[in-house]
Amino acid sequence: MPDQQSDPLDALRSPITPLAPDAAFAADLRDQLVELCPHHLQRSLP
Amino acid sequence: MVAPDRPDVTLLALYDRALPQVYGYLMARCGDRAVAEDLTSETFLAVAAGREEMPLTVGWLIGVARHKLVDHWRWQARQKRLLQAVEASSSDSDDPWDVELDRLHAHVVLTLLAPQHRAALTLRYLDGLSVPESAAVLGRGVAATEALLVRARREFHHIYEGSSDA
Repeated sequence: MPDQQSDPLDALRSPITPLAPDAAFAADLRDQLVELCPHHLQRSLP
Repeated sequence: MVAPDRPDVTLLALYDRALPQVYGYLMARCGDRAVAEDLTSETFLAVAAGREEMPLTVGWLIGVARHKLVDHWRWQARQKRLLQAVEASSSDSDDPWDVELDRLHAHVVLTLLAPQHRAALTLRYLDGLSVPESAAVLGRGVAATEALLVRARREFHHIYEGSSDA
């Protein structure tokens, strides 16, 4: 039962929790990035 | 020592470091794996298609993801209006879960809100943006955003209290 004293919207405040996506999705997206933009990938800091 | 949000040397390095953060950010807010994957892809591909001088940091990338999420909700709102114009009734299904935790319940309720209300509350409460910052992301004035937040909170509390009684 929710706490009637507090605003439930306050319960939404939370930091970003990292979450690993599906490995196949991650690999596909990485491949797309490599193909689309090799010059960005190799850019060096000034 | 490594700074918590240092610029990465390459986009690929940023991708390797930021993917769980971006995906986690989106998944927590949309609650749908397919949508979270689509928006994650859109975020990184938009960066890859962009110009050279962008700050390659996780924080900046989360900002890009936030805009993609808001764009998605705008699209959802348009779709919903179209659907309502065709159908006289909508059938939002009740979530079968009983309340386990306040936070979990609040997240579930958030997914039941109208997209524009969900967007406003997410930016304000999940992301912790100020009203002016939320207004800027939503492309609205501050007063209009405050009014939107009032309506959004009202809908949230209405559904939250109604579903708590179930």
